Amino acid sequence: MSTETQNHWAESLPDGCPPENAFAPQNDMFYRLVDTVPPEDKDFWSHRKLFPNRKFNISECLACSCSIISDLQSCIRVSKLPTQKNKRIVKLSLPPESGLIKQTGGHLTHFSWWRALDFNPIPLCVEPDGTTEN
Amino acid sequence: MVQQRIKSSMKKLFYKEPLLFYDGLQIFVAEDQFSSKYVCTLVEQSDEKDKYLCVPVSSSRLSAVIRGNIELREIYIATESNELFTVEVQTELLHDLPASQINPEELPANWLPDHGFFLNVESSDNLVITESVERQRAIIHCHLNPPEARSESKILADNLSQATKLIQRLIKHAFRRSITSLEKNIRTRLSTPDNYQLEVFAFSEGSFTLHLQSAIPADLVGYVEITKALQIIDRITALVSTPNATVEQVAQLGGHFATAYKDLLKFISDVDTPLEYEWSTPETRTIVRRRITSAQAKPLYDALIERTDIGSETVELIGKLTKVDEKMKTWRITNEEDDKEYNGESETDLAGLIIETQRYKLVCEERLEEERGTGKEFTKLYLISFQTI
Repeated sequence: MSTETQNHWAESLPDGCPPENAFAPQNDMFYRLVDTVPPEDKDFWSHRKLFPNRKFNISECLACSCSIISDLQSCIRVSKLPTQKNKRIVKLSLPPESGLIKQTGGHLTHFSWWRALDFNPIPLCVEPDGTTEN
Repeated sequence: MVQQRIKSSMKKLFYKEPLLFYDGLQIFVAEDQFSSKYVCTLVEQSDEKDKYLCVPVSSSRLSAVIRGNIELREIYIATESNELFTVEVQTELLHDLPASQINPEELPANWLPDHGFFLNVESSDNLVITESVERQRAIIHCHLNPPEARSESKILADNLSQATKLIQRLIKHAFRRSITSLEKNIRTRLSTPDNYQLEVFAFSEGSFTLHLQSAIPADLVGYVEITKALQIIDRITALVSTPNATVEQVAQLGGHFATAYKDLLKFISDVDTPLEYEWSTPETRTIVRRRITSAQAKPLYDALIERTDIGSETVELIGKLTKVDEKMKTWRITNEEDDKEYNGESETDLAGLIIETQRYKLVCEERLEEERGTGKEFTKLYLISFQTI
């Protein structure tokens, strides 16, 4: 782990992470499934932080990111899956200082987010009004 | 009374294709040793393992799932073969997944997706995108159009082998260039041939179309390392109508990439073989398409060879010389940084150089050359200047 990286990010990231083509969000709206509303810090932990001893089928950089979705309907869809169905949806607008994001995976609404150390997403989280909001 | 029993049986499944990713792999397609397909959905997750519920599906049902024409829940409730399996994934390896059969009647309700989950994976009618998704690799179609391919789908063996070699070489040097800004340990890890090597897996009509794929498959979100190289090449081939801009951009990519691109342009021009390529990856699911005609290749090549300074790369070596031949103008040094021996020729006088005891800094020009006969690529060092340190 690089010292510089550890100083900038909410979690320890491997060298070369986030990837070069990740970019800062511009107050874009994203959705995430969380255990409670208001969420807790743990709701924004990466897979790596949640399961520190696991070996994953993805790059270590991606394992250290947190999934967010750019479209409410897509997030509602994911909330119907077995491991996600007891969770609640929150929306939050990500400012440029929140970290870096990158679209990843086959679904164009799925993004990986590498959170900045000083950014606290919890106060920004609200539950979306209805299932048709975008 | 015949009592129906579900036999406890094990089989091996193999990961085939991701269908949905959210904080890990949620749904994927697997297949067994007979190529029967299974849809697997994540049902439990812990620090030790992920558990997936897998159901065998026919091709038509899989297609309906992928297109979002059937609820995911439905395929687990109304199974086609009354079979369900669980798979536990403990490591990063998805090639050999032991699947245990379970009784559908004992399926825990919380393992089922809720009503209203339709997958609806974006699909494409484009063959390059389809191949990249099916094969889970970067796919490149190269349309070669030499004179012999213009009336029927054929190509001279020499032209095919030369074109394949030049394309692979360009990708290799673009890839190496793409990782130069990374830290040394990452660069070392990534610079293995696997990450830039291509495999030919088919030919088709349409000029003479070469179907190439990345040697290594994509990761679970569809990313393939070779993407970096393809994006560099796209940047350069977007400038085929502007030789001056091409020279400026190529100059920034180093001598070996420049040499590889020059040689490809020379082939296109000399053999009158326009080249069009399209590529995609499972991650991007979009097509990038570029074309270089013979008429465009010639002025580009001429502009590049005029700039003699961009055909090589400068290399600095620090250490003690182990051999110097003043007459033959050759030398050998043990480089301290990687503890490897390097040798080369010299364009300056080597008189007075001390071997074994004196440390030197050698500034060399590294040129890309080809072995006569085999055509194998190698680099050669030419000493430009030296100083004692």
